[in-house]
Amino acid sequence: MDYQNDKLEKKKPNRRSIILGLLIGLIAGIGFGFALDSLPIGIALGLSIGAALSTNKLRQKPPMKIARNDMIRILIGLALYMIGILGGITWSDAVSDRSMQIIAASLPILPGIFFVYAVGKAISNLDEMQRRIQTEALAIAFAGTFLVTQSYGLLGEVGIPQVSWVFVPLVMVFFWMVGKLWLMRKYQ
Amino acid sequence: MNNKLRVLRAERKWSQAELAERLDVSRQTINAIETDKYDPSLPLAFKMANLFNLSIEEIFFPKDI
Repeated sequence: MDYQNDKLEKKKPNRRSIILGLLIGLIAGIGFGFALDSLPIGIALGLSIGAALSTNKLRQKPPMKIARNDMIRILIGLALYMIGILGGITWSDAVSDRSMQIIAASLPILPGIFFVYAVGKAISNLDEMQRRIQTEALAIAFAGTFLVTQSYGLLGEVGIPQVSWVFVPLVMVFFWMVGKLWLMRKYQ
Repeated sequence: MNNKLRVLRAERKWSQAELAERLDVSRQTINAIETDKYDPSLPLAFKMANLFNLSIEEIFFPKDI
């Protein structure tokens, strides 16, 4: 047994990482769908990104071991959130009454809160260094999103075309992932 | 902060994964501590000291010493 230095070895992508990548892609796809005004193109784009993530970045043996229950909770939250978004879009398109449209558009809020709770719970169950990585990654995501949205907002004042608010969480997730990958490398 | 965690682990012929399991942390955490990239919290340092039957000062020491 090599007890001198156990390097994190690579292994083939497992089913869980592929499913997770595809789910991330589906969520991103819905965002892209809003932004590009074409849900099928958005979902196709998002699924491609998710598949690429799952077979490339997630191929590394995950050093952050999320407990099975936490992972199940996150996946349920993610699934409910997606159902909420798709249901909300479908319902708001189907009704003509303004107040019903507002209720329909608010449909993803509750599953969204549950999803945030599930992610928070999973982070709190990580060990101390992994929690630190996540916290620092969230700080990077906050700073990056702040800079991008503020800069783009100011550029909008001088005529740069405005984009949908749906892009904001995508920018945040992007910086969170970039920050996490960088910090995992830093502490490896 | 420097430490002699790797030496203590090697003396017992434990892998990083084995030590991580005994301390209820990830292997990445053990690796980061051994390579001086991460300083553990006081509760984890006490847990390590308890596991090796040593005091914290016998495992961890400032870099300039």
